[in-house]
Amino acid sequence: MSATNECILKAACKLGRNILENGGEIYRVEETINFFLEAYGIFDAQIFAIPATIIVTIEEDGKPMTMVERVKGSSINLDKLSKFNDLSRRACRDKLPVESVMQEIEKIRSEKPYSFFMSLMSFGFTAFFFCLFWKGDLRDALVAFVCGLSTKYCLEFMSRGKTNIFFSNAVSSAVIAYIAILCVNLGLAHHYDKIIIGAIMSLVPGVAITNIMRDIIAGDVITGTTKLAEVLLTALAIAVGIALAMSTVIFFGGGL
Amino acid sequence: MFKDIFLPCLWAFLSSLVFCGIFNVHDKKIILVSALGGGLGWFAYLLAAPSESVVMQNFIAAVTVALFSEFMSRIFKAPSTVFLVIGVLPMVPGGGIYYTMEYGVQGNTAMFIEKGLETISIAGAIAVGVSIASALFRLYSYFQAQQFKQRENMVIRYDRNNNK
Repeated sequence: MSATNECILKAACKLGRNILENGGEIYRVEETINFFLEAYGIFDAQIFAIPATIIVTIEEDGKPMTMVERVKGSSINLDKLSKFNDLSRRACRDKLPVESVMQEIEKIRSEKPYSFFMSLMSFGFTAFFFCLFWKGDLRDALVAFVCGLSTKYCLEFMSRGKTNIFFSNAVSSAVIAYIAILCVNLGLAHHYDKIIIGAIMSLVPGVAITNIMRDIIAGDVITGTTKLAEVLLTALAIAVGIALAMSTVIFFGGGL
Repeated sequence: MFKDIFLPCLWAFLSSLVFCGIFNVHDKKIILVSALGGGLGWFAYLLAAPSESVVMQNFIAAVTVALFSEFMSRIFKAPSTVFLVIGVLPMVPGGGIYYTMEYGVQGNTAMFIEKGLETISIAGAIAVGVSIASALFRLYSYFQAQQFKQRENMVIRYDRNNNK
């Protein structure tokens, strides 16, 4: 074995961290680290992962060695997730040298996500199609498209100001609701409810909802409850944003 | 027929397709397949309409999408999460959150509680459906691996006996 245990531990932690950051489930993170360490000849590793931290302890000549990775916030990037997953599989199967694994991790990390324009268009068209999906008509969908664009701008602006997720979701959904109500009152569209639903679909925590029970059934109750809190907070933020917009319109405009 | 079944599935498919942009999926094949999962899930949802319960419909659709994504993850060698996360999107209760809040603002407490409970149970149905399907699939692949191992052991034993 050419690589030291330290390097192997470091590579395993980085791999797990990246899978966690890009939207992987906890059991996937723990299994990846475990398989990776076993493939490189380190057995009986103690691995603990929750959405905010990964702790791995291995033993070297009877002495414990621990590494902690603090994960702050995650952005879902399924492309990178699938690449890291693939990398860990390849590394375990072909016993790639640890240095080249580290290099590949850095390479995948530095890959650019979709450009701002593409992302803007995805937000717009997501709102467009979801509005049609929730039985809005074509004019509603066009207004929803504009709402989707405004969502992306809001989120971008908020993330530059480093505000928390709760606040940025609340502000984005408030802006959506204002635009929708304004356009309906101007006669550009018919159903403000359909527009708002279509546009908030990109904010609703769908990933967390699907992963909660999977985590709990896999035995990660801490993660499950953390994510449950996240889902409730996000849903609450969206509801508060729209409620704020609606009640100010009702209060100052005397009705919707 | 066209308006009731085909169109919603098409919208579900297209919304899942463009959502791939938000989740940064780059591989075109995977984008297409996972969006198909979204359409398929909604098709299952509509097929389950005779059960006359939204929760049941969501549950069946979630099971369908989860099984679909597990199979696709085998075929396309990508984590099942990718297909699952995108396929489930049309079922996520965005409408439920909105209407709950709207009744809340109007002060209609009875409807507020009813809608709120419905939204929570839809979210629960999705979560349970997904986890049941993936647990089943794990069991299935475990037994498959076990069988494979047995067969391999038999071959090894056979070789050993013949080489003697």
